[in-house]
Amino acid sequence: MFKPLKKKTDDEMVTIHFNDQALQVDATMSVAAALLSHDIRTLRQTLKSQSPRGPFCMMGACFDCLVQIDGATQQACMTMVQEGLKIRSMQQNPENLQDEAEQNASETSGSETGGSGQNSTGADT
Amino acid sequence: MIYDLVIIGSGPAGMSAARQAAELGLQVALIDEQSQPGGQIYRNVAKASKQQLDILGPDYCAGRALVERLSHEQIVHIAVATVWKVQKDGFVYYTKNGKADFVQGKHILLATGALERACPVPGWTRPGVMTVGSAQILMKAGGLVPDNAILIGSGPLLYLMAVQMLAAGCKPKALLETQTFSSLKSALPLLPRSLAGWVMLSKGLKYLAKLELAGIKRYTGVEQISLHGNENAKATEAASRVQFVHKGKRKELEADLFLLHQGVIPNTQITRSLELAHDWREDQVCFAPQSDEFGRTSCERIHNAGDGAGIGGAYVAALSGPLAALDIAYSLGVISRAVRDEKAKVLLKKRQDALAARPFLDRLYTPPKDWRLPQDETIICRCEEVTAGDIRSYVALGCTGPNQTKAFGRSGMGPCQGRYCGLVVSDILAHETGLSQQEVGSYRIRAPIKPVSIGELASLDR
Repeated sequence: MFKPLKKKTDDEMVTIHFNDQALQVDATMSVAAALLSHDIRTLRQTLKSQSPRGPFCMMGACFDCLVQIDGATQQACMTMVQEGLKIRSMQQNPENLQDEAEQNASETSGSETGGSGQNSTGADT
Repeated sequence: MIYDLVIIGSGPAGMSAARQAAELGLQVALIDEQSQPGGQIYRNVAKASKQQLDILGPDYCAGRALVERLSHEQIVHIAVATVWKVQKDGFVYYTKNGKADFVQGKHILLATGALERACPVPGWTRPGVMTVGSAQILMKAGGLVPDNAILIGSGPLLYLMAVQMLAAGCKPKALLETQTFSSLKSALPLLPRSLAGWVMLSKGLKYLAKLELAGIKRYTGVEQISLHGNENAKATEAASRVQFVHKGKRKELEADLFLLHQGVIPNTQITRSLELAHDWREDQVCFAPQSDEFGRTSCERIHNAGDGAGIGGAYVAALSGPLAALDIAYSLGVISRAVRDEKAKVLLKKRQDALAARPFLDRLYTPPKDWRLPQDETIICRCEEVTAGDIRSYVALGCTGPNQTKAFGRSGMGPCQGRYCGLVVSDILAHETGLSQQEVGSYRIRAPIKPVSIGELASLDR
C-alpha cells in the first residue's frame, strides 16, 4: 500500500518491535510511517466497539494511531523510531484491558486505557 | 526571559513572521510540534532529498527559502514541542522530551495553520482509509508513496497529489471527485480576470492534462461514497473496496488504500480555548477567528496569521506572517505607525492579488451536502464513535448546542477534542434546528488542548 521512494541501506535502518514482531525500518521515519511501510495499518481497537483503527491524519490531530510505546500511550505519527523501540497495539479485549490498565494507571492521563471504558482529556462540557 | 514575541507554529506564516519580527529587533520564540520547521505544507523541506524535491515540485521547494531565513540570532526555535495551553497574559505551556515547560511573550502570534476537513462517509474510520494530506506528509517526511490507491473527494490537493504520485512512479488507480458540472458553472463567474486567475487556471489544467495523458480514470460528480472491507475475513477489517454512484449507476472499485480530501479548514483549537471571537464563514464553510488585515484578534496581545485565520494557502500565509509581525512591532512601540503602514503596503497588495482566486476555488470545491450532513449511520465523531443519527436524536430530545451533545453522548470528548467532528456537529445542529451556524456555535475547547500526563505536569514545579 506504500512503496519507499528509495531503498535504504542497512546502516540507515533500525530494528523496532511491534507486538513482539521485529521489524527493520528506516531510521528517519515516525512509528506510524515505519509500520505502514510494513503494511501494518491496524494499530488499535476502539473502546466502544472494538473496531480496528490506524493512522489517518499523520499530523497529530486525529489520535487514531495511538499505541503503547515503552509502556506509555503515544501517537505513532508524532513519535520517531529508535533502535529497540517496543510498540504494542492498543487491544481493548476485556482480558487484555485488565493488565494494560494496571500497567498504565500511573503513567499517563488523557490516554485510552482507563478500565471504565471512558477516557478523559480535559475536554468537558 | 520574556520574549517580545512567541509564535506558535512554524509553517509559512510562523516562519515568515519570525524573520520579519527578528529583523525589526524583536526577541522571538518559535514553537512547533515537528523536529523540522516548515509546517505541514513544507514538512521536512530542509531535509528532503533531491528525489523528493523533484517529485513534490517547485511549490514545495519554495519553502526552503523560508526555512533558511529562520537562521537569525534573535530567533529561538523550540522544536518537537507540543503546546497544550495558551494564556491571554502571554504564557505558553508545552511539553518537550516528556517534560512540561513554558515560555512567556509580551505578544503571541498564533500560526497553527489548517486541518483537513472531516470526510464523514460510511467506512471512513477503517484502517487503510487516510486523508490525502496524510499521504502527502508520508511522501515528504517518510519517503513513502501510496501504491494502488484511490483518491476521493475534491479540491486542488487531489490533483496535485495525483501528479506527485505519478512523478514517483505510483499511478493512482482512480480519482473519485465529488464536484459536479453545476459547481463549475456556479464558480466560473468568480474566476478572477487577473494574472492570479490565469496562473491558477493554467496550473490546474496542466495537472489535469498530465492525469489524462497517464490514463488515470476520473469519475466526477460522484455520490453516495462508502468504504468497505472484506466482510468474510474478520481479521482484516481494513478497507478494500469503495462503492459509489456515478451517473446514476452504482459502482465498486478495489484498492489497497483510499485517500480522502475535502479541502482544509482553520485549526481553531487554540483560538477557541482562548474564547476569542469567531465568525461563520459561509464562503469557506467553516468558522474562523475574527482578525483584521494585520491579524489582530479580539484579544489585544494575540495575533493570528495564515490558514488558521481563514484559508488562503501557503503563499498568502507567508505574506500574512510579516504583516502580523509589523503590527506587533508597532504595538510594542518598536516602529511607528507610519513605518508599519509603509512596509505593509506591498505585502497587502500582494496578498489582495493572491486572494483574488480564492472565491472561485471555494465555490468550485465547496464540500457536498452529503459530506456536511451525513446519513444517520455514518460515524462523525471518530473518537467516541458517535453517528450523525445520534446527533439528530439528541436534537429530538431537546439538545440545542454543540456543548450539550457532549453530555448527551460524548461527541467531541475523545482525545482529538472535536478537531474532526466539531464542524459537522455544528452543521447538523444548524440544519436540524433551523438556526444559523453562527447561532449554533461550536464546541467549547479547554486546555489542555493536547493530552499531557500528570508526570509531565509535575515537572513544571520548580
